[in-house]
Amino acid sequence: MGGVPYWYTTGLVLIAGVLGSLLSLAILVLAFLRLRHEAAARTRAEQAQQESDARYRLLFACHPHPMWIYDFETLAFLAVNEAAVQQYGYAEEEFLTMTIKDIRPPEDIPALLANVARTTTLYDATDRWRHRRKDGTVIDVDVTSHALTFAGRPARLVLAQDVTARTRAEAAQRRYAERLETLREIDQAILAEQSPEAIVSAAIGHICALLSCWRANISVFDLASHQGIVLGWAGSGTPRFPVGTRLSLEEYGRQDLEALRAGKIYVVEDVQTCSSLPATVQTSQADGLRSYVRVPLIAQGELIGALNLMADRPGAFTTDEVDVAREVADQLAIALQQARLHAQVQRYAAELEGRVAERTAQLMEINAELEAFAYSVSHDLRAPLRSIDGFSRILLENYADRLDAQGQDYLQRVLMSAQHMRELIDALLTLSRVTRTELQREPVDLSALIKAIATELQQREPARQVEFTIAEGLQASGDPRLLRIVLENLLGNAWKYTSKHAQAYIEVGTQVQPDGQLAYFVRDDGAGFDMAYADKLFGVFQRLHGPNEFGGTGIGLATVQRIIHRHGGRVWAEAAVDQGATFYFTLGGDTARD
Amino acid sequence: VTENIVEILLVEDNPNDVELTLHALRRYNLANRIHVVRDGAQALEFIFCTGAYAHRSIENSPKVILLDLKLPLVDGLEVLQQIKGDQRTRLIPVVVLTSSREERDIVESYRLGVNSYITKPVDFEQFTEAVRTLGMYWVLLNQPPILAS
Repeated sequence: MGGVPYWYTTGLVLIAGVLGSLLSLAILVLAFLRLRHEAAARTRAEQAQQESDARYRLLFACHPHPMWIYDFETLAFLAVNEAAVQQYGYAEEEFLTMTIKDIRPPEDIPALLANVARTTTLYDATDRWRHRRKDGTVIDVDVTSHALTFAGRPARLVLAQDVTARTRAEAAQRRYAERLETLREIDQAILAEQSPEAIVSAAIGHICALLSCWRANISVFDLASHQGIVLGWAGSGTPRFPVGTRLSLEEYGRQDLEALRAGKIYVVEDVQTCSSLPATVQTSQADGLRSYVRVPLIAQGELIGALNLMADRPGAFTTDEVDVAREVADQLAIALQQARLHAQVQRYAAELEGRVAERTAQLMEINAELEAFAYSVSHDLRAPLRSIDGFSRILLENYADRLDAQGQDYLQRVLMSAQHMRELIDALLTLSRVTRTELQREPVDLSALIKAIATELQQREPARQVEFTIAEGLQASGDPRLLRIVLENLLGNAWKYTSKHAQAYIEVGTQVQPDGQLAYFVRDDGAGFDMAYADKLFGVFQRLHGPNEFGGTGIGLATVQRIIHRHGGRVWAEAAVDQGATFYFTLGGDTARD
Repeated sequence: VTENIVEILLVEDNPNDVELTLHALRRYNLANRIHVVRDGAQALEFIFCTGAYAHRSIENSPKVILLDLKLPLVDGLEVLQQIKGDQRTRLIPVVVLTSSREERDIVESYRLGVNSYITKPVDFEQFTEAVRTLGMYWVLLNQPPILAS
């Protein structure tokens, strides 16, 4: 670069000087500006600090939920808020000398330490813990924590929300639901079972589980024999008094029994502090019994047994549980009482059945006797009658020449009497057969039957002038053989009691009764009778006419009535002296036709 | 051997009924060859030719047996059963002549193979008529099978 002119160099220096001054100025300006900027930034930082402090107070110190910061390594409290002080009862200074273990029930500490050891995340989600306050009360808390550095130490910020009221309410709700469920199960078990043993064995397991018993049993008492019997057992180990064990009531304890008799629950909080223990309790104590409750089973004011709850720790049963026990016991008592009544009813029913069987046997015996009687009437009474009739006739036929008129008249009387006796025997036999034979209902063409009987009557005495009017198409449901006996008797009577009239009229028809039943009737215009004696019509051997007026056995209408009654029907008559009679009968089950 | 010719065996314990029956048969000259036994055991001895009747021959059977049901020792239904249950005697006509009108007796008799069942009428005229008809029919009219001898 040789050859550069001087002025050129000088000029450059000059320019450089000016530029240098300008640069210095610019730097000054810049420095000033920067200073100003830094001052502003400082002010902003101070403000932020203040805001942060306020936020801290708002978020931590004045937070309505207890909060604290603890050292993640030493577990010592590093800071606590006012709400924590209020909740736990320790002053802030006290807190700062404690570790988080100190606000736990001792039994929860191992779990706490395990949880701390596990915690690696920045943020630890909500977890439920039990905390202990200074006064020793234990509360349920939902805990959230997250990691931070506090005074250069790894620490965790904890937010603990007291949820005791909620969890207690939830627990109560759960217990209530459980209780309901158990009571319902017991109810169902009780309903399904009928014997006291079955009821108790269905319920005892539920009770033991519901009330967290170590062992439980149910005894029923028989106050008369002064004994109790174990009906059900549940629990751990081998029962000292298994189901079926009979104990004298003394063995339940005098005081225990006194309370039970008074309808009171008997509670022993700790058997070790009890001076006199019943024999049974002493036996169970050897297995580890520490506390027990006896709940009376009372039905209709009477002590019928006890529900015994046992635990292997003192004071095991809460008031709440005792209440439940009482509820269950009341239910059980009702069920047991019902079972007793049921058994009683069954006993009565069996007794009744036995009595019915006995009566039936007696009746069958009587029936057999009656049958034997009828048989012997049929056979044995006829034979002498045949002799009387036969030899009288032989006398009349072969020896008439050796008898005077009076002797012959007497023999005639013997014959007439024998004849009457034969009729009586026949009628009695018919009556007894009506009672003995089984009723067999079938459709019967009454009109045809009546016509047949009328024809028989007419053929027997062709000289009689009797006009029959028989309704057509009379149908009935009944035993045809028995209905024939009814109609033979009624038509026979109509025939007989019109015999004094030269011209007679007999009508058979039906009439609908006010109750809708269809009644059949046989009407004649014969001798009739005085309605004052109508009640005697159907009795055995009852007659409204002397034998000189009209013959008869006095058994026919009794037979008719018996047959009608066996059909479930009714028979009655309307008559007036010398104005004829009408006999009505229904057959039961028949309804009037349109 | 005339005493062996018996046309009617009457099994009847009631002496009055026996007399009345004989009287009725006599009227119609049917009483000559009648033999009367008073109980079921005698009836069986006669029919099966045992005991007091051991000398009889079983082929020499009566033309008809009139049998009462209610009998001492062996009752009429038992006698009937034995007669009808034995090849040698089952063809002998047996007529039950009894006071019983019981359905069960009638049914049982027919079940056992009775040839006829007559209820003794109480009325003497009817009784006589019944006995006469019986005698006429079974002794005079009925043609018994020729028994193998």
